[in-house]
Amino acid sequence: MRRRLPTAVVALAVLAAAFVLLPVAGLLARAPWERTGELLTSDVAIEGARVSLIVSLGAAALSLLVGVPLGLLLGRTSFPGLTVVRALALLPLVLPPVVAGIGLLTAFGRRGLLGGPARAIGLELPFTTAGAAIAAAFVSFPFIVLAVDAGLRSLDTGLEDAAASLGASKWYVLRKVTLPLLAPQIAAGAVLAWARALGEFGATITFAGNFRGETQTMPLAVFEALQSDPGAATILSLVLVVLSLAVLIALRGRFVGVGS
Amino acid sequence: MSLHAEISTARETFEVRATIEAEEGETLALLGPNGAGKTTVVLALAGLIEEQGMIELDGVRIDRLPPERRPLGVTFQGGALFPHLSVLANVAFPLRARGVSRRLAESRASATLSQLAPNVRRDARPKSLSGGEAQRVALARAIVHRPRLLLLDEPSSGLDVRGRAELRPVLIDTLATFPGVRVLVTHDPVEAMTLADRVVILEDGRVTQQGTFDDVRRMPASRYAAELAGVNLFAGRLEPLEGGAGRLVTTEGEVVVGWPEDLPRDTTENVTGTLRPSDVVVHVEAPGPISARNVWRGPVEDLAIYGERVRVRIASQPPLVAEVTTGSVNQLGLVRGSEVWASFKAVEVEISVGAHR
Repeated sequence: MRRRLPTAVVALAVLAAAFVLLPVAGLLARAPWERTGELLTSDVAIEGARVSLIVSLGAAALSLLVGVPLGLLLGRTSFPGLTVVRALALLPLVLPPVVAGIGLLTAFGRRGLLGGPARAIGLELPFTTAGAAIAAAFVSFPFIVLAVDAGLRSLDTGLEDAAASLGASKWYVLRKVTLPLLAPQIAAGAVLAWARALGEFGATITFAGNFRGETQTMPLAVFEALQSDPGAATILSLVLVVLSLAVLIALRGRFVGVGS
Repeated sequence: MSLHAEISTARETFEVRATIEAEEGETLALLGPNGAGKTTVVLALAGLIEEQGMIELDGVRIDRLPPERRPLGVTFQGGALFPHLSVLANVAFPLRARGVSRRLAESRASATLSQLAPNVRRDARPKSLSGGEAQRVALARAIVHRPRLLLLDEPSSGLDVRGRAELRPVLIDTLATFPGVRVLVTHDPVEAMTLADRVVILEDGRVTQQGTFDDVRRMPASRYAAELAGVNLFAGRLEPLEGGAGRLVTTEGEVVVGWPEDLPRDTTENVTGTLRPSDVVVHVEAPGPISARNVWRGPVEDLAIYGERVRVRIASQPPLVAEVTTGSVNQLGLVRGSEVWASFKAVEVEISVGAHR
């Protein structure tokens, strides 16, 4: 049953909704609609979309690869310094992305800590598409860690015990019981990580630069267009709005624990 | 085949030290009140908690083996079926975990299900099963890989009368045909009495008594043991009577009982009724008109004193155990051989349906 709310709360809630709606309305109002076709098929848009797709999907995959094990470690073990590791795992969420980018440069850059060894095995990260994916993964993998950690808390450990008592090794339990049971949370975390990677700007431009067809993702393209052609920037922005909204509607609020 | 276990675990304020022995072909009931440490023993046997004792199965130490390498079949409270797997995949799980091919595992799982849960759909999800069906599937999953020790943790807890009735014959069959050591963990004395050969009584983390039920009945070692040994047990055929009642016909006589709400009103075989001794009223003269439907007569066979209470064994047909205060014994002048009347209400008899051995 829905309860009635005080009028003041409803008024503030409407204000909040308007707060989100107005910028979107502004984009819609100021967009040069007559140039839509031309802008959407332009080099900047197509290359930007292509790079964004590769970078964001690559970042989501990388996030899963490192985020799931780290989430399992945080949710399942206890060791001295666990609190510190948990804080470190969430650091990229609160860090300004540009700081993350500088950090990545000092670690993997040409003169960075691991720059030499990385180049030695033929891995060129700064100012490459792979580097852009790593920058995006860096800021988005905490979503996976959070999802796995929270999922483990609500998981019935009796099922894992049952599996072990029935002859399943640790690895088999993880593959056939734990991960399948966590699948909904991991999927929601992955979509959020992907969405975060799609919108990534600061870390990418700092670590990977802004090269069209290489590291220029949609947000970078929008920023560049804003300097010379604000109309184009509006249309490209709307593309991102539509994409993001589609993801959120598909998720139906699953990541905050509501919906089905 | 035999089990010899010296369980020793300590967790903060709770400590369990228990020695448990069981022979092949025997069902051992581990009986105790809630919180006695029964589940801790199960987890220790299965290797799922830290444990410092010694567990020997067939003369081989298994206590240092990880859980997956112990030759056990365990059913957990509530079934613990994997919600993301079908019934068939659940039962095939122990075989798949041991590297058996999917085809072979599923065909063996299917054969085991045919015996234990023939009416459960193989592709059903555990969520759609009734409690009794879930326990049947859990039982199939616990024996499909032919373990040497079958460990059942409270198989009937949380089930309604119908669920228990569904599960009971399967439990009896499984326990009777399982080739190895069987350990049944329960807090229900009737379940222990009707399914097990021997009993280990666990209270507050310690074994207070072990032996046959007759041993416990003759010489209960604790108040709890005395209470559970004194439970009156009637087994036989249940026939409907007028007005929501039934007649439980045993080899020793008849008992009027309340008809269980969820049982169809037809004559039913293999019914067990239990009656707490404290629900039996003892009279020294024939009682006048009273509401109790069961009024029996017989001589007092034995009086046993436990603290402030006295257990009165009455050689009526069927025999009865009543529990009264020492005050009433004095007031009524009860001695061995006194002729007494015992009465109890039909609704005090708790009915469960299923085979009794």
